[in-house]
Amino acid sequence: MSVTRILCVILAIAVSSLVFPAVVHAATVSGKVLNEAGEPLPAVTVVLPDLEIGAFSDEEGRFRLENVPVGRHAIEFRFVGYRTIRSEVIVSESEPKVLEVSMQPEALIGEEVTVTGERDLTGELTGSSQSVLVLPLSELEERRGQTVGETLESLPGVSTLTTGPAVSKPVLRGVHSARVLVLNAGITQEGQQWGGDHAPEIDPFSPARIEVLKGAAGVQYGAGAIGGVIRIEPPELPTRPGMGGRINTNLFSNNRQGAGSLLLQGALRRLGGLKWRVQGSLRRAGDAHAPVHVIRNSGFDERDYSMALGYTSDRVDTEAYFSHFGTWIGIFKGAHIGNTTDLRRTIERGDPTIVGSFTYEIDNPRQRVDHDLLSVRSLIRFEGKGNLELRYGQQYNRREEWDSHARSGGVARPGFSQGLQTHSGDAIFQHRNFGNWYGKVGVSGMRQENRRFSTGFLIPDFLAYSAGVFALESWTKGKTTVETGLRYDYRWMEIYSNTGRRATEIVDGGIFTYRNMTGVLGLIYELTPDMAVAANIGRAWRPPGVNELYSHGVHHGTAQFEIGDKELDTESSLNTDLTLRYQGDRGRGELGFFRSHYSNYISLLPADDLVLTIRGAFPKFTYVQSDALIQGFDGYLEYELTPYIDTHLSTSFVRGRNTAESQPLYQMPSTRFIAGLSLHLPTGGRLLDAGIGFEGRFVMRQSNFPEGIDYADPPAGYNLFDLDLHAEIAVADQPVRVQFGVRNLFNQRYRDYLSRFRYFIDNPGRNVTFGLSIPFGQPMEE
Amino acid sequence: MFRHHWNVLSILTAAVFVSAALTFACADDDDVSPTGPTEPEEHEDDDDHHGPGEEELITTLAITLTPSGGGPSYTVRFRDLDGEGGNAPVVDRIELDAGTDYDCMAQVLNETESPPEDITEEVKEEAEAHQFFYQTLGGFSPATVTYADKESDYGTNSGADHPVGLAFTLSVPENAQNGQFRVILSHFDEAPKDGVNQSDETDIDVIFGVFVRP
Repeated sequence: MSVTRILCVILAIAVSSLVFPAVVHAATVSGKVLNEAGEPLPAVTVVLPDLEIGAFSDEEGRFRLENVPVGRHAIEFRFVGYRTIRSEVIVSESEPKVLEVSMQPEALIGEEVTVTGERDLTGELTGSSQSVLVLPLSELEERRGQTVGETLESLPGVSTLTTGPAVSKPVLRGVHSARVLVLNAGITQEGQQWGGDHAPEIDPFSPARIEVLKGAAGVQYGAGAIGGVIRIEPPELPTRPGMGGRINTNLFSNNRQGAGSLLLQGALRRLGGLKWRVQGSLRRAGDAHAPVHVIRNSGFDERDYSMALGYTSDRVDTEAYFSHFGTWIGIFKGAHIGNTTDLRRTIERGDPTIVGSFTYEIDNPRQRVDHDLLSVRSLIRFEGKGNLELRYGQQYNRREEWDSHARSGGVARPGFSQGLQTHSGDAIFQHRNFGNWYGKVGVSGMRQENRRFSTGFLIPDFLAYSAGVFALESWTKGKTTVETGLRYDYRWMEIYSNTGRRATEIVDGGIFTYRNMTGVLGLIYELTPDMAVAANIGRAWRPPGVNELYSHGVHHGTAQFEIGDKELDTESSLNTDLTLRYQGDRGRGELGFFRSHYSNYISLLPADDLVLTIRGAFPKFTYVQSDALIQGFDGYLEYELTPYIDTHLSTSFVRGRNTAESQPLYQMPSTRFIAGLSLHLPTGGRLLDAGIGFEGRFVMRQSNFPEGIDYADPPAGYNLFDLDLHAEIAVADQPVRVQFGVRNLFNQRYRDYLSRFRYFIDNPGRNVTFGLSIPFGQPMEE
Repeated sequence: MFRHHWNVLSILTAAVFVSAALTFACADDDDVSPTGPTEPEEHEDDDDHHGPGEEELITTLAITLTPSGGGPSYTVRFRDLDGEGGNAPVVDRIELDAGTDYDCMAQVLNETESPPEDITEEVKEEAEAHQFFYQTLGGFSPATVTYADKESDYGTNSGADHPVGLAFTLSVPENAQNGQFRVILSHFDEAPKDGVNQSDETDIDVIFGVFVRP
């Protein structure tokens, strides 16, 4: 089927939906608003923002909204000093809707305000002086079943570094791994992040909200937040007594993946203020299919669970969250090569020699990754003074990797295996408005220990401590907000020496200390009621990674002999960005320009030398530091063309340059555009929402790449098209969501520049997806 | 009032910490043992000489040449005793007489173990998954190599009885001159071994210098 034909079908549906708009039926929504103590709360604003219908609660907390059209609507409860509740209400003709809402004093856990004052970041015009993208629950639901990396892939300025279908790392404005910080439930995720094939260890079903902050954020988040921060938040615990939950099921044709998740949560009626949640999920996939080949051994088997317990009282909220992530990941067999000749031969031939039929079995080479996270957060309110937030995190990351065929014992035991244990603590005091000033001060500390088990050697064992102190203030007057902050960090690390017969496992350890001062200055100005401009200058830093200090050996996928440098200094960036935001009646959008100057940017460059081994000679690559510049722009626009047709456009453009060597940086994402059209189909009766989406992704070839680093030039550009159909149907007063989609509709053969398998095999082909989401009991609060 | 809430909070927090401690207890005891990073873990796997699961290391390729018409045999080696990196490998020179055929045997060792581990045995066991390829280069290119073994020589193998190349004959004609001799050991995992083509997984790829006595 051609593109034009599909567009014709879509247009036909669009036109018909314009001609036959839905018949409007109306009903009443009423209810009662209570405060945290269960007492009536008068004068609360209750609004259906999309319909511009509103009312106030009376002395007894009661409110009533008349003539509400049947269907699913956003509803908001607002009251000064209390947290705004944004939820959804399903209005049906059969019975008037009666709601009971309990409001909580503002600044609860999970609502820590990023950078600026007492505002909610959700797409707000003046929320932040940096570019922040938010994926709320509704959008996450559409992407369930995919990895966190894939979930974020369509956002402007975000791309992914993939190692097959199961491993995808988010790349923010050209940087990834140690330069991007991931926060899960308020705790900095600590895994073996240095590896390009080490994806974030996060259950993709667990977040209820993901925020992507692009650009340096060193003051707020400390070391590592050079390129940006990805904040992952589990759902907020319910405040209404009763029990509820959700079942998700997703199926994917390409790798015959099945995924499912079950969530149960509730608040106790008797023990007021005590609330809980349990959640578990499974994802199981076999070999993925490129259009022409089976990607042998690319399946995965992931089992995750989490639980949370919270208690709210007058002054203190406490929430404890525990999550376990565990997965087996198969690594494509054809990517395991022996030497440079093998790699050149594979690239020249183009197609893999390893063929076979589909299987769910995961064979060597493979990875086993486990990650346990415990997060305890307490918020203590000091009336008239502010809030103190205390956070404690404990994590244990265990990673094991099996080689293709270590002959003796290797099949049973991993080629390398290590555990990383991290304890972290933060105390942040957020003071109340002091004139026009609002802000916070904080201290944080961390202890980290990396232990190798008696297996092969990759990075040495170490023990590290770090500490930081920061202050962040913002000043608001009229349409202007200025924010500024400072932070000091210290890190101490001991690398343990190691001996052995092999050169690759001999480590001459030592003690390393790093200290750094970072600062930020931001400005937000509201140009018009629907347009704002934001500017930000910020610094961030990171200590060199253990791999950058101590690597010594052949990297299998790339046939390079990599050598670390113990003398490496801290890397730091000075990031300048300018963001234009628009939030109008018919659409919203953002355009951001950025320029990051790096000092001591660490990269792996050829040393013009060979290392002779029994498998042949490998080019020697060493970790070196130089100044670098990464700049570009990205943005998006969502616009309502007619009440039934929305369009969205987005683009990302990044250029990276090693300014000392005067050549492009390696592995920068290529320029891309996304254009899409969504149609809202007529609703009514049980049909709450229905739509069709069509999207094209146009990815250019990367023409800016350094010479002499890579065995193959960047692959050609490609265009992919996705189709999506979804509907929401009221079943027993609950919105059941059904989704059907096709990704890579035309089964396009392509290789992405940021696919680590691009030397060996095409990216996956067409993927038909099906999703079902069934809520039950008390509705979830968004 | 305030005190009361603190009590509830501290009980809850204590409960969480106790459960956390329990959850992590296993990991602490079994995995992050305070025994130091270099102390080997004990495993009940006797036939496992090197570190468990460690990627197989080949330090040494030895080729023993014996003139077909009789005479003393001698052995040339490519040895990299500390593996990849570190000290450079030591490579012997092959010295041959023009107009002579040699019966040759290849041997593969891991000499970081003592006694050295003979990986040749594993190549024989997995004969259907291995093949040596030999190339005569430069002035030595008139010399030719003929395989002198089959997979079936090393027991029952599932392969199509292709050569393995542990035994071969090197024929050095009168016109052969100084040059190079390249030895490649291909590992065939899933890609089929057809007896002619190399795989994309090379275990050994070394070049010896050759001196030909006229």
